[in-house]
Amino acid sequence: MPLFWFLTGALSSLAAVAVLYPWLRDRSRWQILLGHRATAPLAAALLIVSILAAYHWLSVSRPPALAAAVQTDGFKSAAKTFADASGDSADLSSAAPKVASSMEGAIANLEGRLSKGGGSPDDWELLAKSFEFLGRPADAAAARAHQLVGTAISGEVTIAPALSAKAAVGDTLFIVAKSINSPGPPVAVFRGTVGAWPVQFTLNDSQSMLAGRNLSSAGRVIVEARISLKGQPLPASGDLQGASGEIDPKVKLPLKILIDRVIP
Amino acid sequence: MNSRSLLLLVLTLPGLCAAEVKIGQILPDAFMQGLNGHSRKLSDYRGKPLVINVWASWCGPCKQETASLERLAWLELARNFNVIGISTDDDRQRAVNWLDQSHSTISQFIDNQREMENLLDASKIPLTVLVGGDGRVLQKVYGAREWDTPQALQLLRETFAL
Repeated sequence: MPLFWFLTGALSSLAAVAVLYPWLRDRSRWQILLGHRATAPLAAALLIVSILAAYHWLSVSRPPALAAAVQTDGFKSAAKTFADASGDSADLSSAAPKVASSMEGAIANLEGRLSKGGGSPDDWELLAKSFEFLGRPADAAAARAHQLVGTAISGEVTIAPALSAKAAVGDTLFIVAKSINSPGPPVAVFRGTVGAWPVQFTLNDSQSMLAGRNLSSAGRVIVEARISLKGQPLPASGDLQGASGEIDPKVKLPLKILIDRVIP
Repeated sequence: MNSRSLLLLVLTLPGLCAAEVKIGQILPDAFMQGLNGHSRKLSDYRGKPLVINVWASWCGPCKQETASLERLAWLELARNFNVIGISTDDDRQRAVNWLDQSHSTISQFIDNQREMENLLDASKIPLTVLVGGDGRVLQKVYGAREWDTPQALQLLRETFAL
Protein backbone atom coordinates (compact mmCIF):
# COMPACT_ATOMS: atom_id res chain seq x y z
CA MET A 1 0.00 0.00 0.00
CA PRO A 2 2.79 2.58 0.70
CA LEU A 3 4.23 1.81 -2.78
CA PHE A 4 0.83 2.57 -4.29
CA TRP A 5 0.67 5.94 -2.59
CA PHE A 6 4.30 6.71 -3.50
CA LEU A 7 3.54 6.08 -7.17
CA THR A 8 0.37 8.17 -6.88
CA GLY A 9 2.37 11.03 -5.42
CA ALA A 10 5.10 10.76 -8.07
CA LEU A 11 2.63 10.73 -10.96
CA SER A 12 0.70 13.66 -9.46
CA SER A 13 3.98 15.58 -9.15
CA LEU A 14 4.88 14.94 -12.79
CA ALA A 15 1.43 16.14 -13.85
CA ALA A 16 1.85 19.26 -11.76
CA VAL A 17 5.25 19.97 -13.36
CA ALA A 18 3.75 19.56 -16.82
CA VAL A 19 1.06 22.11 -16.01
CA LEU A 20 3.06 24.63 -13.99
CA TYR A 21 6.36 24.79 -15.94
CA PRO A 22 5.00 26.38 -19.15
CA TRP A 23 3.07 28.89 -17.04
CA LEU A 24 6.11 29.86 -14.96
CA ARG A 25 8.32 30.25 -18.03
CA ASP A 26 6.67 33.59 -18.56
CA ARG A 27 9.07 35.87 -16.62
CA SER A 28 6.53 38.62 -15.91
CA ARG A 29 4.22 36.27 -14.00
CA TRP A 30 7.18 34.92 -12.07
CA GLN A 31 8.16 38.41 -11.03
CA ILE A 32 4.60 39.13 -9.84
CA LEU A 33 4.66 35.99 -7.67
CA LEU A 34 8.10 36.47 -6.04
CA GLY A 35 8.50 40.23 -6.28
CA HIS A 36 11.96 40.10 -7.85
CA ARG A 37 13.73 38.77 -10.86
CA ALA A 38 14.56 35.10 -10.99
CA THR A 39 16.67 33.22 -13.36
CA ALA A 40 15.51 29.67 -12.74
CA PRO A 41 11.73 29.22 -13.07
CA LEU A 42 12.26 25.48 -13.19
CA ALA A 43 13.76 25.53 -9.68
CA ALA A 44 10.70 27.33 -8.38
CA ALA A 45 8.40 24.84 -10.06
CA LEU A 46 10.32 21.98 -8.50
CA LEU A 47 10.10 23.65 -5.10
CA ILE A 48 6.33 23.95 -5.36
CA VAL A 49 6.00 20.40 -6.58
CA SER A 50 8.23 19.13 -3.76
CA ILE A 51 6.10 20.90 -1.17
CA LEU A 52 2.94 19.45 -2.70
CA ALA A 53 4.44 15.95 -2.79
CA ALA A 54 5.64 16.17 0.82
CA TYR A 55 2.21 17.39 1.97
CA HIS A 56 0.58 14.59 0.01
CA TRP A 57 2.86 12.00 1.60
CA LEU A 58 2.47 13.25 5.15
CA SER A 59 -1.28 13.74 5.10
CA VAL A 60 -2.45 10.72 3.14
CA SER A 61 0.08 8.01 2.56
CA ARG A 62 1.55 7.42 6.02
CA PRO A 63 0.41 3.89 6.94
CA PRO A 64 -0.62 4.74 10.56
CA ALA A 65 -2.72 7.70 9.40
CA LEU A 66 -4.27 5.59 6.70
CA ALA A 67 -5.07 2.77 9.13
CA ALA A 68 -6.57 5.20 11.59
CA ALA A 69 -8.69 6.77 8.87
CA VAL A 70 -10.00 3.38 7.76
CA GLN A 71 -10.73 2.28 11.35
CA THR A 72 -12.44 5.53 12.20
CA ASP A 73 -14.65 5.31 9.15
CA GLY A 74 -15.54 1.70 9.97
CA PHE A 75 -16.41 2.47 13.58
CA LYS A 76 -18.36 5.55 12.57
CA SER A 77 -20.37 3.61 10.04
CA ALA A 78 -21.22 0.83 12.49
CA ALA A 79 -21.90 3.26 15.31
CA LYS A 80 -24.25 5.27 13.13
CA THR A 81 -26.25 2.13 12.32
CA PHE A 82 -26.76 1.47 16.02
CA ALA A 83 -27.38 5.10 16.80
CA ASP A 84 -30.15 5.15 14.21
CA ALA A 85 -31.72 2.00 15.63
CA SER A 86 -31.36 2.92 19.27
CA GLY A 87 -32.33 6.56 19.02
CA ASP A 88 -28.92 7.47 20.39
CA SER A 89 -27.88 10.96 19.37
CA ALA A 90 -24.25 10.59 20.42
CA ASP A 91 -21.70 12.72 18.55
CA LEU A 92 -20.03 10.44 16.01
CA SER A 93 -17.35 12.91 14.95
CA SER A 94 -14.82 12.01 17.63
CA ALA A 95 -11.80 9.73 17.32
CA ALA A 96 -11.97 5.99 16.74
CA PRO A 97 -11.54 4.74 20.32
CA LYS A 98 -14.29 7.02 21.55
CA VAL A 99 -16.58 5.87 18.77
CA ALA A 100 -15.78 2.24 19.62
CA SER A 101 -16.78 2.75 23.24
CA SER A 102 -19.93 4.59 22.21
CA MET A 103 -20.91 1.53 20.17
CA GLU A 104 -21.28 -0.48 23.35
CA GLY A 105 -23.37 2.33 24.73
CA ALA A 106 -25.50 2.35 21.60
CA ILE A 107 -26.05 -1.41 21.88
CA ALA A 108 -27.01 -0.99 25.54
CA ASN A 109 -29.43 1.78 24.57
CA LEU A 110 -30.99 -0.37 21.88
CA GLU A 111 -31.28 -3.24 24.36
CA GLY A 112 -32.92 -0.94 26.88
CA ARG A 113 -35.36 0.50 24.38
CA LEU A 114 -36.44 -2.90 23.03
CA SER A 115 -36.80 -4.28 26.55
CA LYS A 116 -39.50 -1.70 27.18
CA GLY A 117 -41.50 -3.16 24.28
CA GLY A 118 -42.45 -1.99 20.83
CA GLY A 119 -39.40 -3.29 18.96
CA SER A 120 -39.92 -4.80 15.51
CA PRO A 121 -38.57 -8.24 14.60
CA ASP A 122 -35.88 -6.44 12.57
CA ASP A 123 -34.83 -4.48 15.66
CA TRP A 124 -34.47 -7.68 17.66
CA GLU A 125 -32.52 -9.28 14.82
CA LEU A 126 -30.14 -6.31 14.76
CA LEU A 127 -29.64 -6.66 18.50
CA ALA A 128 -29.10 -10.42 18.17
CA LYS A 129 -26.48 -9.92 15.46
CA SER A 130 -24.75 -7.30 17.58
CA PHE A 131 -24.50 -9.74 20.46
CA GLU A 132 -23.20 -12.45 18.14
CA PHE A 133 -20.55 -10.06 16.86
CA LEU A 134 -19.52 -9.35 20.44
CA GLY A 135 -19.33 -13.08 21.22
CA ARG A 136 -22.42 -13.15 23.47
CA PRO A 137 -24.48 -16.10 22.14
CA ALA A 138 -26.80 -16.34 25.16
CA ASP A 139 -27.82 -12.70 24.69
CA ALA A 140 -28.29 -13.28 20.97
CA ALA A 141 -30.57 -16.26 21.60
CA ALA A 142 -32.63 -14.29 24.11
CA ALA A 143 -32.99 -11.42 21.63
CA ARG A 144 -34.12 -13.77 18.86
CA ALA A 145 -36.72 -15.34 21.16
CA HIS A 146 -38.55 -12.01 21.04
CA GLN A 147 -39.14 -12.45 17.32
CA LEU A 148 -41.16 -15.62 17.88
CA VAL A 149 -44.22 -13.94 19.28
CA GLY A 150 -46.80 -16.25 17.65
CA THR A 151 -49.96 -16.43 19.74
CA ALA A 152 -50.56 -13.64 22.24
CA ILE A 153 -53.07 -12.78 24.96
CA SER A 154 -53.58 -9.14 25.91
CA GLY A 155 -55.69 -7.62 28.60
CA GLU A 156 -55.80 -5.74 31.84
CA VAL A 157 -55.77 -6.56 35.53
CA THR A 158 -57.64 -4.66 38.23
CA ILE A 159 -58.09 -5.24 41.94
CA ALA A 160 -61.30 -5.37 43.96
CA PRO A 161 -61.75 -2.25 46.11
CA ALA A 162 -61.94 -4.41 49.24
CA LEU A 163 -58.40 -5.70 48.61
CA SER A 164 -56.69 -2.64 47.22
CA ALA A 165 -55.40 -1.58 50.63
CA LYS A 166 -53.56 -4.91 50.95
CA ALA A 167 -51.46 -4.26 47.82
CA ALA A 168 -48.64 -1.77 48.10
CA VAL A 169 -46.93 0.01 45.24
CA GLY A 170 -43.89 -2.04 44.24
CA ASP A 171 -45.36 -5.40 45.30
CA THR A 172 -44.71 -8.19 42.83
CA LEU A 173 -47.45 -8.94 40.30
CA PHE A 174 -47.36 -12.24 38.42
CA ILE A 175 -49.57 -12.86 35.40
CA VAL A 176 -49.35 -16.45 34.21
CA ALA A 177 -51.02 -18.59 31.58
CA LYS A 178 -51.51 -22.24 32.56
CA SER A 179 -52.42 -25.02 30.21
CA ILE A 180 -55.68 -26.80 31.08
CA ASN A 181 -54.65 -30.08 29.50
CA SER A 182 -50.98 -30.13 30.43
CA PRO A 183 -50.33 -29.50 34.13
CA GLY A 184 -46.89 -28.23 35.11
CA PRO A 185 -45.06 -24.90 34.91
CA PRO A 186 -46.96 -22.06 33.19
CA VAL A 187 -46.78 -21.72 29.42
CA ALA A 188 -46.17 -17.96 29.71
CA VAL A 189 -45.21 -15.77 32.67
CA PHE A 190 -45.04 -12.03 33.19
CA ARG A 191 -43.53 -10.48 36.32
CA GLY A 192 -44.21 -6.85 37.05
CA THR A 193 -44.86 -4.59 39.99
CA VAL A 194 -47.99 -3.04 41.41
CA GLY A 195 -48.44 0.57 40.39
CA ALA A 196 -51.48 2.31 39.00
CA TRP A 197 -54.54 0.18 38.21
CA PRO A 198 -55.49 -1.22 35.79
CA VAL A 199 -52.29 -2.97 34.72
CA GLN A 200 -52.04 -3.67 30.99
CA PHE A 201 -50.34 -6.91 29.96
CA THR A 202 -49.48 -9.10 27.02
CA LEU A 203 -48.46 -12.74 27.23
CA ASN A 204 -46.83 -14.38 24.22
CA ASP A 205 -44.53 -17.21 23.19
CA SER A 206 -41.38 -15.28 24.12
CA GLN A 207 -42.40 -15.68 27.77
CA SER A 208 -42.32 -19.47 27.58
CA MET A 209 -40.20 -21.24 30.20
CA LEU A 210 -39.50 -24.36 28.16
CA ALA A 211 -38.90 -24.79 24.44
CA GLY A 212 -42.02 -26.19 22.75
CA ARG A 213 -44.24 -25.47 25.73
CA ASN A 214 -45.81 -22.14 24.92
CA LEU A 215 -49.09 -20.37 24.30
CA SER A 216 -49.22 -21.41 20.65
CA SER A 217 -49.08 -25.09 21.54
CA ALA A 218 -50.99 -25.00 24.82
CA GLY A 219 -54.58 -25.31 23.65
CA ARG A 220 -57.02 -23.85 26.17
CA VAL A 221 -55.51 -21.97 29.07
CA ILE A 222 -56.44 -20.14 32.23
CA VAL A 223 -54.77 -16.81 33.03
CA GLU A 224 -54.06 -15.97 36.67
CA ALA A 225 -52.99 -12.65 38.17
CA ARG A 226 -51.40 -12.78 41.61
CA ILE A 227 -49.83 -10.24 43.92
CA SER A 228 -47.07 -12.03 45.79
CA LEU A 229 -46.16 -10.65 49.18
CA LYS A 230 -42.69 -12.21 49.11
CA GLY A 231 -42.07 -12.00 45.39
CA GLN A 232 -41.87 -15.79 45.00
CA PRO A 233 -43.20 -17.49 41.88
CA LEU A 234 -45.34 -20.15 43.57
CA PRO A 235 -48.55 -19.05 45.29
CA ALA A 236 -48.33 -18.64 49.05
CA SER A 237 -50.72 -17.93 51.85
CA GLY A 238 -51.68 -14.25 51.94
CA ASP A 239 -51.12 -13.65 48.23
CA LEU A 240 -53.91 -11.86 46.39
CA GLN A 241 -55.27 -13.59 43.31
CA GLY A 242 -57.73 -13.45 40.45
CA ALA A 243 -58.24 -15.61 37.37
CA SER A 244 -59.90 -15.70 34.00
CA GLY A 245 -62.09 -18.56 32.92
CA GLU A 246 -60.84 -21.05 30.36
CA ILE A 247 -59.90 -19.29 27.16
CA ASP A 248 -58.55 -20.14 23.73
CA PRO A 249 -55.36 -18.07 23.23
CA LYS A 250 -55.91 -18.02 19.48
CA VAL A 251 -59.16 -16.05 19.91
CA LYS A 252 -57.96 -12.46 20.09
CA LEU A 253 -60.22 -10.96 22.71
CA PRO A 254 -59.04 -8.46 25.31
CA LEU A 255 -59.06 -10.12 28.71
CA LYS A 256 -60.14 -8.55 32.00
CA ILE A 257 -58.97 -10.12 35.24
CA LEU A 258 -60.13 -8.99 38.66
CA ILE A 259 -57.96 -9.79 41.69
CA ASP A 260 -60.65 -10.56 44.21
CA ARG A 261 -59.48 -13.14 46.73
CA VAL A 262 -56.80 -13.84 49.30
CA ILE A 263 -55.06 -17.21 49.18
CA PRO A 264 -55.72 -18.90 52.54
CA MET B 1 -6.96 12.26 53.12
CA ASN B 2 -8.97 14.43 50.76
CA SER B 3 -12.78 14.34 50.50
CA ARG B 4 -12.75 12.26 47.33
CA SER B 5 -10.65 9.51 48.92
CA LEU B 6 -12.87 9.58 51.98
CA LEU B 7 -15.99 9.18 49.86
CA LEU B 8 -14.42 6.25 48.01
CA LEU B 9 -13.52 4.60 51.29
CA VAL B 10 -17.03 5.07 52.68
CA LEU B 11 -18.60 3.59 49.55
CA THR B 12 -16.35 0.54 49.47
CA LEU B 13 -16.14 -0.06 53.21
CA PRO B 14 -19.08 -2.48 53.48
CA GLY B 15 -17.60 -4.67 50.77
CA LEU B 16 -14.09 -4.53 52.23
CA CYS B 17 -15.32 -5.45 55.71
CA ALA B 18 -17.39 -8.44 54.58
CA ALA B 19 -15.35 -11.58 55.24
CA GLU B 20 -16.06 -14.80 53.40
CA VAL B 21 -18.59 -17.10 55.04
CA LYS B 22 -17.42 -20.68 54.61
CA ILE B 23 -19.53 -23.81 54.35
CA GLY B 24 -21.04 -24.60 57.74
CA GLN B 25 -21.00 -21.00 58.93
CA ILE B 26 -24.01 -18.74 59.33
CA LEU B 27 -24.52 -15.93 56.84
CA PRO B 28 -24.77 -12.55 58.57
CA ASP B 29 -27.66 -10.32 57.66
CA ALA B 30 -27.22 -8.05 54.65
CA PHE B 31 -29.31 -5.48 52.82
CA MET B 32 -30.10 -6.36 49.23
CA GLN B 33 -31.21 -3.70 46.77
CA GLY B 34 -34.14 -4.88 44.64
CA LEU B 35 -33.80 -5.07 40.87
CA ASN B 36 -37.30 -6.27 39.97
CA GLY B 37 -39.16 -5.70 43.23
CA HIS B 38 -38.74 -4.50 46.78
CA SER B 39 -35.33 -4.30 48.43
CA ARG B 40 -35.02 -6.86 51.21
CA LYS B 41 -32.78 -8.05 53.99
CA LEU B 42 -31.20 -11.47 53.70
CA SER B 43 -32.83 -12.36 57.02
CA ASP B 44 -36.28 -11.94 55.41
CA TYR B 45 -35.66 -15.34 53.86
CA ARG B 46 -34.81 -17.12 57.12
CA GLY B 47 -37.03 -20.04 58.09
CA LYS B 48 -36.90 -21.72 54.70
CA PRO B 49 -33.92 -23.01 52.70
CA LEU B 50 -32.63 -20.53 50.16
CA VAL B 51 -30.97 -20.89 46.76
CA ILE B 52 -28.83 -17.81 45.98
CA ASN B 53 -27.59 -17.48 42.42
CA VAL B 54 -24.83 -14.90 41.88
CA TRP B 55 -24.51 -13.63 38.31
CA ALA B 56 -23.63 -10.67 36.09
CA SER B 57 -24.99 -9.42 32.78
CA TRP B 58 -21.56 -9.74 31.14
CA CYS B 59 -21.19 -13.40 32.21
CA GLY B 60 -22.18 -15.84 29.45
CA PRO B 61 -22.30 -19.01 31.59
CA CYS B 62 -24.46 -17.16 34.13
CA LYS B 63 -26.99 -16.44 31.42
CA GLN B 64 -26.93 -20.02 30.19
CA GLU B 65 -28.24 -21.31 33.51
CA THR B 66 -30.84 -18.56 33.95
CA ALA B 67 -33.68 -20.45 32.24
CA SER B 68 -33.16 -23.59 34.32
CA LEU B 69 -33.24 -21.55 37.55
CA GLU B 70 -36.50 -20.00 36.40
CA ARG B 71 -38.01 -23.41 35.75
CA LEU B 72 -36.74 -24.64 39.12
CA ALA B 73 -38.51 -21.79 40.91
CA TRP B 74 -41.84 -22.83 39.34
CA LEU B 75 -41.58 -26.53 40.23
CA GLU B 76 -43.74 -27.88 43.06
CA LEU B 77 -40.51 -28.83 44.87
CA ALA B 78 -39.73 -25.12 45.16
CA ARG B 79 -42.51 -24.73 47.74
CA ASN B 80 -39.86 -25.99 50.17
CA PHE B 81 -37.29 -23.28 49.44
CA ASN B 82 -36.86 -19.82 47.96
CA VAL B 83 -34.80 -18.93 44.89
CA ILE B 84 -33.22 -15.49 44.49
CA GLY B 85 -30.63 -13.96 42.20
CA ILE B 86 -27.92 -11.43 43.03
CA SER B 87 -26.29 -9.44 40.26
CA THR B 88 -22.73 -8.21 40.74
CA ASP B 89 -23.04 -5.72 37.89
CA ASP B 90 -21.60 -2.27 38.48
CA ASP B 91 -24.18 -0.84 36.10
CA ARG B 92 -27.69 -1.44 37.41
CA GLN B 93 -29.29 -0.72 34.02
CA ARG B 94 -27.36 -3.50 32.31
CA ALA B 95 -28.65 -5.96 34.89
CA VAL B 96 -32.23 -4.69 34.49
CA ASN B 97 -31.94 -4.97 30.71
CA TRP B 98 -30.99 -8.63 30.98
CA LEU B 99 -33.84 -9.34 33.40
CA ASP B 100 -36.32 -7.74 31.01
CA GLN B 101 -34.88 -9.52 28.04
CA SER B 102 -34.86 -12.94 29.72
CA HIS B 103 -38.31 -12.41 31.31
CA SER B 104 -36.92 -13.18 34.73
CA THR B 105 -39.56 -14.11 37.29
CA ILE B 106 -37.50 -14.83 40.41
CA SER B 107 -36.65 -12.04 42.86
CA GLN B 108 -33.44 -10.33 41.83
CA PHE B 109 -31.14 -7.99 43.73
CA ILE B 110 -27.99 -6.04 42.95
CA ASP B 111 -24.79 -6.04 44.95
CA ASN B 112 -22.74 -3.26 43.41
CA GLN B 113 -20.95 -2.60 46.72
CA ARG B 114 -19.48 -6.11 46.73
CA GLU B 115 -20.90 -6.99 50.15
CA MET B 116 -22.60 -10.25 49.12
CA GLU B 117 -19.83 -10.99 46.64
CA ASN B 118 -17.29 -11.02 49.47
CA LEU B 119 -19.56 -12.82 51.93
CA LEU B 120 -20.23 -15.62 49.46
CA ASP B 121 -16.74 -15.60 47.91
CA ALA B 122 -18.13 -14.97 44.45
CA SER B 123 -14.66 -14.54 42.96
CA LYS B 124 -15.88 -16.81 40.17
CA ILE B 125 -19.38 -16.69 38.75
CA PRO B 126 -21.89 -18.11 38.27
CA LEU B 127 -22.00 -19.16 41.88
CA THR B 128 -24.99 -20.83 43.45
CA VAL B 129 -25.08 -21.01 47.22
CA LEU B 130 -27.43 -23.34 49.07
CA VAL B 131 -28.37 -21.89 52.45
CA GLY B 132 -30.31 -23.69 55.18
CA GLY B 133 -33.39 -22.25 56.82
CA ASP B 134 -31.21 -21.18 59.75
CA GLY B 135 -28.94 -19.14 57.49
CA ARG B 136 -26.12 -21.70 57.46
CA VAL B 137 -24.18 -22.08 54.20
CA LEU B 138 -24.59 -25.71 53.15
CA GLN B 139 -23.13 -25.87 49.65
CA LYS B 140 -21.41 -23.68 47.08
CA VAL B 141 -21.63 -24.60 43.42
CA TYR B 142 -19.33 -22.74 41.04
CA GLY B 143 -20.06 -22.79 37.31
CA ALA B 144 -23.21 -23.12 35.25
CA ARG B 145 -25.65 -25.98 35.95
CA GLU B 146 -29.02 -27.10 34.65
CA TRP B 147 -30.93 -26.62 37.86
CA ASP B 148 -34.07 -28.52 36.92
CA THR B 149 -32.46 -31.84 35.96
CA PRO B 150 -33.06 -34.94 38.13
CA GLN B 151 -29.45 -34.74 39.37
CA ALA B 152 -29.78 -31.11 40.41
CA LEU B 153 -33.12 -31.77 42.12
CA GLN B 154 -31.53 -34.69 43.96
CA LEU B 155 -28.70 -32.40 45.12
CA LEU B 156 -31.26 -29.94 46.46
CA ARG B 157 -33.26 -32.68 48.21
CA GLU B 158 -30.14 -34.08 49.87
CA THR B 159 -28.67 -30.71 50.83
CA PHE B 160 -31.92 -29.34 52.22
CA ALA B 161 -33.04 -32.74 53.62
CA LEU B 162 -36.36 -32.50 51.77
